[in-house]
Amino acid sequence: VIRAHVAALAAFLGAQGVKVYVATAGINVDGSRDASPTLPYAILSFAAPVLDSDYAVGTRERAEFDVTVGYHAADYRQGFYVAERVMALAGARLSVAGHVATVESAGFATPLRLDDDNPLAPVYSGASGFTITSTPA
Amino acid sequence: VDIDASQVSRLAADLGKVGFTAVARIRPVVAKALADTKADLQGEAGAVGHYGVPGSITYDVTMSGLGGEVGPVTGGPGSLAFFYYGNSKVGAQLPDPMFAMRRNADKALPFFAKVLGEGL
Repeated sequence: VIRAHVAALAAFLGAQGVKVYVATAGINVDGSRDASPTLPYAILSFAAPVLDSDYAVGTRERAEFDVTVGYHAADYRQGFYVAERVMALAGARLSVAGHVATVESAGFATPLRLDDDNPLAPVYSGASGFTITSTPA
Repeated sequence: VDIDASQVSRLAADLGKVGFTAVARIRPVVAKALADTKADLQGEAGAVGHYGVPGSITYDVTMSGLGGEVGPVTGGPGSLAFFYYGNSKVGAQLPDPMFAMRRNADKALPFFAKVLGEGL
């Protein structure tokens, strides 16, 4: 179930023109690896879902996934470009077989910041968080 | 992460229908939400092996019990920004504290409503 939601989220961002990796730069959603990831790209971090059922009213198990989308770019313009596309997730419906999955508005967003640990290759980074609410269809 | 229940109390005060005692009854609700959030954050950090982080997570009730702060204290271990947001090589390793705060604030809402409702 988690993999299906990760794949759906990655597909949504991919359709927005954002290259997406999972957990680590260079690792694609299907597990394959890119030897040299090229900026800009986003890295998805998924927490295990929080499950909730309300048997009193017959609600089926609802899962909430907390997702952090870190995005990284070579300059500010690229960074804001990716940030805008990531923010398109807010309110989106994801295509997950057997589930109705909706992305709630951003839980948080950090400012775009410069990481110049390597002065020869500075990276502009930001992060946004979303909660995906998913119920069986 | 801050939680601020003062607006709820201000609304009630403006209505002139809820007495001062409501503040005293809201305080434990705020404290419970903060304590639960602290426990969640500590659990998340411990679960992924960042054993130095849980001990740095604290909470404080502020504003005479109407607000509070919860999260890692300044000067804690390592770069917490790295844990929570990652960098260009590695993604976030911990969920942002805002997720746990929102979840626990949602749980607390019925209790806020109960306190205010009993005062009206």
